[in-house]
Amino acid sequence: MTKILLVEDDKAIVANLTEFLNSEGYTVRSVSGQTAAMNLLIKEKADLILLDVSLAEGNGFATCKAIKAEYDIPVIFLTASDDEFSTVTGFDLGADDYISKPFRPRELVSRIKNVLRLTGNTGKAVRLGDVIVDTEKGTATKNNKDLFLSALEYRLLLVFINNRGMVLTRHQLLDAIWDVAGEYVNDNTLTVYIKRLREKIEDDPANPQIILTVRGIGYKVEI
Amino acid sequence: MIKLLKNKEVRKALIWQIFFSMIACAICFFIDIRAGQITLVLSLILILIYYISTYRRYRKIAALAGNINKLLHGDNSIFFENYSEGELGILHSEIYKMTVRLREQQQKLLNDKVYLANSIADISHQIRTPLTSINLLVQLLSELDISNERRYQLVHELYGLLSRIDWLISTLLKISKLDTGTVQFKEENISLETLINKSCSTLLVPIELHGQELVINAAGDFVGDIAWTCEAIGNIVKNCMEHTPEGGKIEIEAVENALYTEIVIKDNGTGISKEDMPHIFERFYKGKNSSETSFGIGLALSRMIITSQNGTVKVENRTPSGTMFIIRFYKGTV
Repeated sequence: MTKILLVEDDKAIVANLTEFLNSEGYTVRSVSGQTAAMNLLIKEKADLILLDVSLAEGNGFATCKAIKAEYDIPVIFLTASDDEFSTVTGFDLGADDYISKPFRPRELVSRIKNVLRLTGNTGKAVRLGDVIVDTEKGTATKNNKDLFLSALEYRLLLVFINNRGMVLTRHQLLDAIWDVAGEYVNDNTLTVYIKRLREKIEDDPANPQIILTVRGIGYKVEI
Repeated sequence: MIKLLKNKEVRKALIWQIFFSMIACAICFFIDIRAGQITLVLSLILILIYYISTYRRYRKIAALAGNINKLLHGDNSIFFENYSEGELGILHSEIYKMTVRLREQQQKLLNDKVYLANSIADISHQIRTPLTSINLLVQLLSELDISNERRYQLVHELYGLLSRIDWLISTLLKISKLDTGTVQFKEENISLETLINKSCSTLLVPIELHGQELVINAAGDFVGDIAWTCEAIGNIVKNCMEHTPEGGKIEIEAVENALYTEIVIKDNGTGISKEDMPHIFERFYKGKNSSETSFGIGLALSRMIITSQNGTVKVENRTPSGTMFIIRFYKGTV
């Protein structure tokens, strides 16, 4: 089970986010400040840290710096919305990603998965059969030829990559791409895009080997 | 008059005057008794003249101090007229300038307060509408026997409204930061192509979903604040996207020359009606063709960002149809 350390002092956010992340299969420990966070890390390991920038006790940035100095745990900042100063400074201090409040919980999970994947063993280049996806550059190639995936096609592929081995329902897929797409994605569009994606990445789109259909439930990409 | 003697300088001057007068009188009396008498009378007259003129000056200064005191206690009806000459006159005029400045600052503070109150009123007014919808949706969601499909649909709508409120708050915050001049625009160097790509990055998927084509043609460099400028360009492109039908084309061309850096954004959509044209950059102005989801502040923010960086933005209709936004960042001061 992946352990997440949540450094956040708003009780409502802590309660609800913990419940949500638990339902997604993560174990969550929460502390409300810098000192408590550092003390906890001495005793317990964490796989990922969600760090609120605007803490009442301590300073989000200082905490990140302190954590990165001693441990090699990925950090995702929860920042005040659109504060570019925060996000730039955050990256300078070694944060792995950020999400600005108010955020959609699904988007947070998406970033958590992304960060864990990038800092894990699989790293930045992902192999799906003949297809190699470079998640840093945002490109996908098949047999060394660029696939020229459109923005949404790539995004959809990334969702599959971040959820390998798990069945994704249509609703989960729609949820996952909602943030880039806004309100425009309807169910039919999803069908069209899965079809397009298969046409580009599969050897035989009629017999998909990479993006598999799970009857009655959704789709899945195997590990 | 006697109060004047309390003044140290006056006392000192008088003492010295009396002292030297007495010496002069004594010497003159010694020479000739009539010369001594004349000197005595002359000395007395001179000392008196000095005393009286000093008294008058101090009276004027006291009057001035009295007026300043009244002004500090809130009496705005005092006006300082320049009725004397010389050093005192200069003092008068300087004090007058200072009171004018003080009055201007007072007025500005008042204006700022009014502006703040209006901004807050704007925000709360604009948020109430989506909040009303959210209330309705939550009410519908709380019904027990709705299908999963319906539930998902309502939830999606809710998320949509929440996004809009978030965007509204962000944009209003940015506008007020620009209004109060608290933004420091950075001077960064970036190629125009990178700038435009960055501006459009979050719009790629919506444009794709609208079935529209985005064509970018850029050459040259840009100097300015990247983050803010991306926001400005992005809002304009978003506007074009929303007013262009499926299958339409959005073109962005950028060039740089010795005088200015120019970015032209054009679409082949419905164009802007004549009545709307003069108003589209106004805050909260929603054109006749705009969607119900737009608040009418995206373009207002764009224009503010552009003009704050020594730039201009114009809009024209294209033939046969469509809109063209021309942004220019001038290099010297215009």
